[in-house]
Amino acid sequence: MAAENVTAIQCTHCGAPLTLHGGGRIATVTCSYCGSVLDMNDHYKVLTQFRELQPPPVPLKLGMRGTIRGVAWTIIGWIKYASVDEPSETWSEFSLYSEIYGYGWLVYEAGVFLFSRRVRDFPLLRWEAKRHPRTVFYRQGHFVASEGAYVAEIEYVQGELSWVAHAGDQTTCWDYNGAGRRSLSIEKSPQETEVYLNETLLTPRVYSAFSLEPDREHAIHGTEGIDAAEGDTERAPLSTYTRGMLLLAGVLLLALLASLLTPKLIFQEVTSRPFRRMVTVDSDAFLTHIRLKAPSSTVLDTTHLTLYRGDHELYSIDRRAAHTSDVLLQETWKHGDNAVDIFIKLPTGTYRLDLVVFVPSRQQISVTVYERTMRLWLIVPLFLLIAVLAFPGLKRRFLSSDMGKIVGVMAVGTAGIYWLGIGVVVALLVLYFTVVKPVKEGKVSWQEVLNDD
Amino acid sequence: MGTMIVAHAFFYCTDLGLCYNGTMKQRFETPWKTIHCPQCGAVLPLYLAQTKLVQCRQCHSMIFLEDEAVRVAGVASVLAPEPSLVTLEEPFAYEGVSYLPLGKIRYGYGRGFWEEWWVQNDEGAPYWLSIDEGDFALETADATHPYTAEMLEGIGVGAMLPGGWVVTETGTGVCDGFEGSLPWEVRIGETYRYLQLTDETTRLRTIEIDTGGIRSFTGRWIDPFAIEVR
Repeated sequence: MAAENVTAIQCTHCGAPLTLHGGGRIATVTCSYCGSVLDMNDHYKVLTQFRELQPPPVPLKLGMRGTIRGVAWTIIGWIKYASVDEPSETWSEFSLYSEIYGYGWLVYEAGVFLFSRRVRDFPLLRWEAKRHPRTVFYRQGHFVASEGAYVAEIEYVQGELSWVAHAGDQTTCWDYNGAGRRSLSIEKSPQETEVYLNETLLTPRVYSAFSLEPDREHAIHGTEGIDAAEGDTERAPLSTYTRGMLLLAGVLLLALLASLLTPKLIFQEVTSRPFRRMVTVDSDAFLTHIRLKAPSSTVLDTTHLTLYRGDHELYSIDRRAAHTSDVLLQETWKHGDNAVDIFIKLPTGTYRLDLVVFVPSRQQISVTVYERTMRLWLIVPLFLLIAVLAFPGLKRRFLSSDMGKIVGVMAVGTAGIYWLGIGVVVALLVLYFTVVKPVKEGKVSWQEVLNDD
Repeated sequence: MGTMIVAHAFFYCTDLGLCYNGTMKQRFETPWKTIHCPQCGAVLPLYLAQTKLVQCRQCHSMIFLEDEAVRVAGVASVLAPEPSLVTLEEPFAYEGVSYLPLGKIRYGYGRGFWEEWWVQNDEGAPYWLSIDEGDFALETADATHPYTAEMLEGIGVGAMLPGGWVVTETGTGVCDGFEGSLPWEVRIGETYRYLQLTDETTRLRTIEIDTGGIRSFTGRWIDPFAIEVR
């Protein structure tokens, strides 16, 4: 840590002792006792004076030292701002100085601390050309305007600043919230426009960093103390509930990946003739998948497949019915289908597959058997459900409120479109099988359908 | 699978610039050539062929390099030590690229100062790192520029210059001194005028004006918290 260059002077207006900590850019120091603003570059000449001498109740004071982001900072200045539109809305900005990292700000409002640094690589010209857009992209992150522009006015100043501040000086501000605890502030004064990158800090850590007594903090702020910081909730560790949900989601995600990787082909035959074949299942993990596929529905309808273990018939299926115990697929295929997928929980062992073709033809039928298969449609909705249940906890931890709303709306919108789409497909299928198909097959007429009521 | 993991781990390490202390330092430790101080005989390593001025670390003589000859041009006062994130001939890394500081010039203004560090990256390319009380910028010297003394006369903040450049800051500084090696002669005590410009893409351009002429540098602002030092 670098040694601090401290200079002691006397206020040229009231004679009070003042300590100077700041670097070469400091232009003024404002006396904490009489409010005189002294010119650092002209023999501490009085430039102006602040009438409001009663400092607002804040936990920090000039000269305090604390470590933020691994850097030792000294509080060298203090400005109290008020919103012009809502004068009761006030906040304090403490100017920080480090001999290596220069200047920063610690913004304090209602128990919440922000660490703020001026950035110079923000595309300000583009931002101005676009007339203050609602979203901006900066340093690989999106930021969303939190509200419209507002005007801040200086009410009170103490200590060192790099410019001459007057009571009533106004700045127009635009705030943008980003992911995590980051935000951007664009501040436009009559002299220049500056951009600041902010990071919400854990309030207890700020108190600890500046060696503040907890009693002092509670005495000053009452219920607005440490726990009131919204930033803390963003930074708070994940709850047991959210962790549990994440664990479940992780397990399901692994299952999803496994479902793509684990299926193993154990049998395949393409034939136009009946057959009897032995199939060995080596793994009883997950399910065994039997796929029967024909070039057309007509061909498929002429087949009958039976699965035996020894002489015991485990399962059989044809166009009319499926007879089974221990099967997941309880019904058979419908006319019009040219394939059927059968998922069965089979213990390891050797099985016999009998394929019967009622009406021989030259068209070939494919029979394929995979072991260790998982059914995605069972996993994906569960995964989505868990993701939705875990979202509130994740949002608090990783997203600002605005970003959380956007992501939430997108998620709900996506889910809505998904289920709406499924509903439309189901409705169309119902309409087809109950109305269109019977009419096409001549079982009923359009007139009968329309007069059904 | 095992081979892939090893390969990924290697690239991960290199991409983050975490290996620079091990590999890049060795590369930096091989100077382009060494000379002996004509005054005291100390060995002085030169890392870049563009080097024109060196300060002897032992006797603080200012040594000019003219083709193969070296010439002592007096003794420069030693700069007062000031805390800095970077140190002469100690590598640092930024965004996965390693840099070696070779020399620095300190300019004073009012009650403060800023420093211009001449650095080379791990491919031997020279850069200028400007450090002004927490504001860090990395620039390269422009081989050519369109600026003339008449064009820059009386120009102020907000003025537009060819190429979509907007002047954001102007000022003057006095050269307080230098350390290490530099690509050109500096005149200690001379006043420099500078203009800082930006364009729509947030690029940075600095124009320096002194009795030696006009120099232009183009680069960008960088985040000091992203600089990795040992």
